[in-house]
Amino acid sequence: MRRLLAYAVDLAVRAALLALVALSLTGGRAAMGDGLEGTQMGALLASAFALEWGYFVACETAMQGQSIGKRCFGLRVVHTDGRALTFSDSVVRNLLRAADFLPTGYALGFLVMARSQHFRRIGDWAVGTTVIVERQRRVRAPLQVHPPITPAELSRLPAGARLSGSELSAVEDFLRQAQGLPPTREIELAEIVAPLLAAKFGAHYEHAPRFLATLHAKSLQEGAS
Amino acid sequence: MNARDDFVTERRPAWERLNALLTGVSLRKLSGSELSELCEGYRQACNDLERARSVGCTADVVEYLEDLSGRAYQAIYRPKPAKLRAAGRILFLEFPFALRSNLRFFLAAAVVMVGPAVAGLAATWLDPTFASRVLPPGLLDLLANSYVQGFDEPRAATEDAAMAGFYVRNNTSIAFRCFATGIFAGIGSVFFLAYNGLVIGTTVGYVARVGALHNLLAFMSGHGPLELTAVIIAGAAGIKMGSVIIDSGGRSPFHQLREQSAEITRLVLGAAFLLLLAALVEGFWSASDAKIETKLTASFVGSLALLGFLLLGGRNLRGAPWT
Repeated sequence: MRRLLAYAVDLAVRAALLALVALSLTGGRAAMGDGLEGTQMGALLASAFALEWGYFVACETAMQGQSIGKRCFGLRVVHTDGRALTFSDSVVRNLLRAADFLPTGYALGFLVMARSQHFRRIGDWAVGTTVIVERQRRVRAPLQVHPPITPAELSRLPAGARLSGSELSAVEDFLRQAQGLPPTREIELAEIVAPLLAAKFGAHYEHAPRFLATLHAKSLQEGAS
Repeated sequence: MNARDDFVTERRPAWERLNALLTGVSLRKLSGSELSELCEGYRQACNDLERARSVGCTADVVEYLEDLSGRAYQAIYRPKPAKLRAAGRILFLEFPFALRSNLRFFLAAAVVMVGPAVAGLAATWLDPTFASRVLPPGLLDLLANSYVQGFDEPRAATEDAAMAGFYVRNNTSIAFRCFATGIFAGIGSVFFLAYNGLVIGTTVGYVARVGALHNLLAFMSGHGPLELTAVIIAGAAGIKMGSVIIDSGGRSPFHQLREQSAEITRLVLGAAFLLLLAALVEGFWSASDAKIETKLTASFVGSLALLGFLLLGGRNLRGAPWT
């Protein structure tokens, strides 16, 4: 979807550039079709040719695998092993648009992309590239539980009670989410998983969210030692 | 606090510093010490990523570090920037050299295109109805009219523009399609070469029948040799691509294709270069009102120059100069 939007932006940019060339050639005599002499027409055709086939290669080479549209939507072309795109690969990749375009409107390209894991079109397959989404990610601040878990609460849990790996991540995600929830809803959600964990560790609890928070704190603390 | 959160809190300023170096000004504007800081930061970020995975940091931290180290890797190990001199070397030396190393593909493409062209020419000459079976009647009328009219009295600018626009867009697309469809085991290249050969032969035959051959020759002689050579070279690159896919020597077809992509790129860039020249000739010269003798002489000299360039360009290169 992003690639479709990026393509639309690139199409508009090319159209605008071509219109600019046409305008500068006619010297502002907004003439569509008439008033163009042979030499002007020749120059216009050469620019249309260069834009149609050279635009993506020029952009991707100058902007490290991005075109203007791709930059707008945070996309970048890279090799499947993470290397940056090279000039000759960009040439082949973009000329093969003609193969992806067949029979019309990139139909074959869409089909190939839909069948592949990382939405690679024929041009991507040929030179081993893929289009990635670059997202600025954020690291969340450490989780704070209110009121803080006391040592007394921790000591009430059985010795072996400890969350690991995906359990820990899931509980941590829940505790972050829960901070904005009404208390009854918080309990309702925590009750889905708390009985299972309590049975597993042979523990008892009164307040399910607090139980999960204590388990979480204990697991992190013991992970450290 | 605990060790996992301490680790994130402690390392975080270093990650943010690396992020700032990467997202700020272009790398070329960084000072020497900032560059070494960048490289050091990259290595640290890779270490931290491994550590974050093993101590069980949550997905947000792991994904943040994956993105950060990935971007740092791309920034540090980027390919050499393209230079104008390198472009000259590719077009004037490596392209003719690559073409001569792949002569068999060129000859195969030439036969596939010229064969149907000759057949189309002969068939149109022998059978008056043949042309209407290959090309739509509307286009035939247009062709006949425009060439019978000739270039002695300048055509209206709109008509001129329409014709030239039609040819340039059509022909460059044809050439690149001849290349690109070679990815389908070469079949597409062979099909489009043969089809376009047939269309060209039929067109010439038809225009000759209506008695306007001299006008057609005058128009085509300028850019024709450039354009046809370019189409055949593009088709040859497509056939080469198909043959690499078919006979990949026991490796994955796309892996083998990647090995050959530099050489194939030389061929296609050369074809694009010739097409650009052809477009310029077509726009500035082909439809001009110069005499037919002048145009044919220019075409002959131009073709000789093209032949000489393709035969002699880059003759001092050895091996595979693009690796």
